Amino acid sequence: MSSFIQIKDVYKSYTTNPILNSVNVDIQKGDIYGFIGYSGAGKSTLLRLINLLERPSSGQIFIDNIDITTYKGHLLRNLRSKIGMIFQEFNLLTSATVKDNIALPLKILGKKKEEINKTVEELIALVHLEGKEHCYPSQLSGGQKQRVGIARALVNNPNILLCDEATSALDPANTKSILKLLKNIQAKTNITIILITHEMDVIAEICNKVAVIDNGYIVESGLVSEVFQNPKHSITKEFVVKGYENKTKDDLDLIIDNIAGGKFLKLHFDGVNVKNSILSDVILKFQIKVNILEASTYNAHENTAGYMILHINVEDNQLNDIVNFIKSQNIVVEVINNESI
Amino acid sequence: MNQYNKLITATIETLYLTGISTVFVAIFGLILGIILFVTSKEQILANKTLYFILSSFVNIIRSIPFIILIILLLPITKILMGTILGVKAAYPALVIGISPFYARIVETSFKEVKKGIIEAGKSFGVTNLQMIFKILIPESLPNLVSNLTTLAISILGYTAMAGVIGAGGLGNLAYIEGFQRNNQIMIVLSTLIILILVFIIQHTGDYIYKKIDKK
Ligand SMILES: Nc1ncnc2c1ncn2[C@@H]1O[C@H](COP(=O)(O)OP(=O)(O)O)[C@@H](O)[C@H]1O
Ligand SMILES: [Mg+2]
Repeated sequence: MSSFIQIKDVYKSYTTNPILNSVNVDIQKGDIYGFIGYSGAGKSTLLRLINLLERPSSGQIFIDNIDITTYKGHLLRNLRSKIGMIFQEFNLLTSATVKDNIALPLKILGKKKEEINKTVEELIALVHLEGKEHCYPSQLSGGQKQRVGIARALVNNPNILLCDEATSALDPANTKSILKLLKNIQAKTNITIILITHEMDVIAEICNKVAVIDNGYIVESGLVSEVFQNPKHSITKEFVVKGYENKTKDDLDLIIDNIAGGKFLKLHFDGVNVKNSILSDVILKFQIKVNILEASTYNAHENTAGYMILHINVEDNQLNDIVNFIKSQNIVVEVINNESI
Repeated sequence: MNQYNKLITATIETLYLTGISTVFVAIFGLILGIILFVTSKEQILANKTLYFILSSFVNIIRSIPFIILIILLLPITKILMGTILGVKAAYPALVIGISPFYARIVETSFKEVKKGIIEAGKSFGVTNLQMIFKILIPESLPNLVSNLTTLAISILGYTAMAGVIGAGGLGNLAYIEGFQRNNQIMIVLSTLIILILVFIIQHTGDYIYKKIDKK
C-alpha cells in the first residue's frame, strides 16, 4: 500500500438500497482528485467518509496506511482537526466575524491567543481578505464567504482538504477565482485536495485525477487528461460533451448572429464511431458548399465526442434530404437559426 | 407607612421578583433545554426514555394554569423557602412554572441552527461541550434573548398574579390597597408602573437583540 488515501471496498447504505457500492479509490499525496457525478450519485456521502462524518457500512479507509474507520472520540477529533473541509453553502458561523470564524478551529484546540492571531492574520492574507477581518458573514459576497471557509479549513495546517461542491453556489467569475486560489494553495503547500462537483469545468480547471461516480458506483477513473481524451462510460461522455458545450456556447451565438441567410445544422457526436468522411459524403452527394463554422470535438481513436456547426445555402426540400442523410449515418442533427438561439 | 412609600416598596419587590426569577428561568431553562436537545432524536446523547420523561414534565408544567401551579407547589415552596407567604414564597412557582417554557425555546432554537454549521464544527473536531457553547449557543443567542424578553414580561405579569395570594409586589398592592380598600388611585398607579416596567423590559431586550443579531 503506497497510496496516501485509500478507500477500499467501501459500501454504504442507510436503509436497504446502497448509496455507495464497492468503491475503491487511491489518492496520492499532492493530488487534486475530483469526483464528478449527477445529483444524488453519492458524491457527498463518499467525501464525508474521509473525515468520518459518515461511516462506511463495510470496507476500510486508509490514510497513511492506517485504517481510520476504527477511530472514535479523541482520535477521531484529532484526525478531523487535520482534515479541512469546505462546503457549497460555506457554513460559517453567522454570529462570528471573519477573524473569529477562521480562529474557531484553533480556539477549539486550546491554542494560545498570540499564536491564533498570528496564524489567522497569515490566512487572511493567503485568501486575500485583508480589511474584512471584522466583517460578519452577512456582509460578504459568496466568493468572499468561501474564502473565509477556505481560510478556516486551512487554519490548523491540514494535509487534506475536502471540498463539497465548493463553487456550485458561486457565479462563473467567483468560481474561477476560488479554483485558482485552491490551485495556488495546493502548489504552495502540496496539500492533497479532494473535491466533488457536477461540473466538468471544475475538474478540467484544477484536477489532475478524476473519478466518475454514478448511482453509487465509480464507473471510470484516472488521469483527467486520459479520461477526457478517451471517455469510455456513457456518463463520462455526457459530462465531457456538456463541459465542452458550455464553454463554447457563447462564441457560437456570436458567429451565427453575424451571418445572414442560409441554414445552420448542428451535428452532435456522442462518442459513437463516426465515419470521418461524413462531410465529404454530404458535399459529394448533394453537390453543395458547406461552411464549417465551428467544430468542437474531443477525438481519440475511433471515438468522437462533441459537435459541429455547419452553414449551408440550400432550399427547404433539399435541407430535409440532407438532414435525413446525416441521421442515417447515426449522427444526431438539428436545424438551428439565428432567431432560435 | 404612607401610600407613597407602599408604592415604592411594592415596585422594588416586583423588580426583585421579576429580575431574580428571570435570571433563574434563564439558567434552569438553558440547562433543561440543553438536556432536552442533546437527548432528542439523532443528537449526540440521544436517549428516548430520558427525553420522554423530561419532555412530558415540560409539557405538563406548561399546561397547568399558573394560579393552580402556585397552589400545587405550596408544599415544595414550604420546603424550599420555609414559608408560603410573602415575596420569597413566589420564587419557586415563578421559576418552576416558567423554566419549562424557556427550555422548549432553547431546544427549538438549537434545532434551528443550520445543519451545515453543526457539520462544519464536527469537521474541525469540536467536542460535544464545545458544540454547545461555541456553536449552538452563540448561533441561537439572538433568538434566546428575544424569547427571554417575552418571558420576562410574562414573569412580570405572573408576579402580579402571585401578589394576589400574598406574594407582595405591585399586584399585591393593587389587590389589598386598591381592590379591598377601594383605593382607585392605587390601582391606577400600580398598573401604570407595571406598564412602564413592561416597556423598559421590551426596549432593553430589543436593544440587546439588535446589538447581537448579525444574520
Ligand atoms: N442521511 C441519509 N439518510 C438516507 N439517505 C441519504 C442520507 N444522506 C444521503 N442519502 C441519499 O444518498 C444518496 C446520495 O446522496 P449524496 O451523497 O448527498 O449525493 P450527491 O452528493 O452526489 O448529490 C441520495 O439518494 C440521498 O437521498
Ligand atoms: Mg452533494
